Amino acid sequence: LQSDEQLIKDMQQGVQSAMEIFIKRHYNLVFAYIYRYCGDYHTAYDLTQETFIKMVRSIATVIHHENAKLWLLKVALNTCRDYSRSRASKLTKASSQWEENFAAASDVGQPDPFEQTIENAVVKEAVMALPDYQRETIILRFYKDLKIKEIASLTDVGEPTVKSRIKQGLSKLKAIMERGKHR
Amino acid sequence: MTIGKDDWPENITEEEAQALSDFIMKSEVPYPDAGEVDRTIAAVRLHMSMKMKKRGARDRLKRLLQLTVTEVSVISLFYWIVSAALYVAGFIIIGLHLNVVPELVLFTLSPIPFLLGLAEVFRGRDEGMLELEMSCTFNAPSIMLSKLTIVGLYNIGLNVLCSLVFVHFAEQAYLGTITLLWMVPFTIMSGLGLLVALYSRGSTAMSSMLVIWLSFCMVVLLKPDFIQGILTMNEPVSLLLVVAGLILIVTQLILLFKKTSEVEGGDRLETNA
Repeated sequence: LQSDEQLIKDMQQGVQSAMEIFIKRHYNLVFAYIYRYCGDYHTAYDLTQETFIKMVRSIATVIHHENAKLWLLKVALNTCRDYSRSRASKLTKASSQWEENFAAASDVGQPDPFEQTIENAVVKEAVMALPDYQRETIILRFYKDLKIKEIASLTDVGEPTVKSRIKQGLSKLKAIMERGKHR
Repeated sequence: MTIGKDDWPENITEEEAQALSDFIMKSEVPYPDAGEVDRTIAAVRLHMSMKMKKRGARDRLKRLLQLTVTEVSVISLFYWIVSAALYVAGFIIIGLHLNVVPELVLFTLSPIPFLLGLAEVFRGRDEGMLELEMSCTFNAPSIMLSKLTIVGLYNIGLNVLCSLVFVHFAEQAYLGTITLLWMVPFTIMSGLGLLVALYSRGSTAMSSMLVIWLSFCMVVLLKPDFIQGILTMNEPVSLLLVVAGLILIVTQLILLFKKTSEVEGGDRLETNA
């Protein structure tokens, strides 16, 4: 099994099969991050593709290959930020599938088999309710299990800011969770 | 995933933090299926092809030689043994002084290891296993070309060894004549076998070409005039046939070599190389 470092070197040489292996290896990592960030399957799919295209475009500039996962997450994070700033994002938010899910989730008297779906929708809605900068920090910390230092490096902010964002994000999530209990 | 103590806001207790962590982790992701991932790869490949320059022929040749060295271990042991055993059997037949012309044994055997090797070379493609065989950096034509080089060289090695033994033991045998004798069937049958293998299944090509060749040899054996004709064939005619066979082989190899160029990876797998 080739290491990520070797695959990146091969990609820099134009070896397409290395790119294929690399994408297959890290596709779920990138997709999960983006899906949790934007909350929509089709948007996440498109942004994941865009992330990998950006990766290929910038592959020649990668010098330190040690942590390919972090580098890739940084590309994904920037892709998500670009998307958030775009008009497409604002249009999607207006008719977000989250809202539909959350509406379904809030519907009292749902049968038990749907309980998992409801919980999913509530969590998604709660995470989506966070501001972009808190959401990306929470996703990287809890779903990607990154260290504060790594998140700081990825998001280009200081470690105290990352800690503060996590605390603020968790406080908001707690409030949403409690609100959900009282429904 | 548990929430680290440093992450807790002051207004959250340890139990609440764990509950919050459990709450966050309840979210599931509907991952795209393999087909959708492949579409992403195809889109990225397009960008990569546009961005990257084609590999130079020299670079490709160098990589191919490196691959050939590593592919030797991939060829099945059965193939090496069966091919060598055929030659040993041939010498035993000659040694037993049966009613067989020694040169005709070499003539008959000369293309067989390559024809047998075709099944080995194209096995991965036929079984859809080339993707697994690809060591992540070489495409299907590269792997097939490297295996063809191996079986071709092995076949030539066996024939040369056999010729040297002949010259050593036979009284009126000349190396040039003997070499020309095995070069004719080797080049012609290898070229035809390669042609058929590239456009059909490797095992089909191997079996059909073997049947054709052995049938031809049987006919020759049954007709003493044919034997005489082959053994006393004009040198220019032999050379012409060798050149024709070589052209057939080289044309196929060049086609394969071209495919080792800029496009590497799975999407060429489904083509007939």
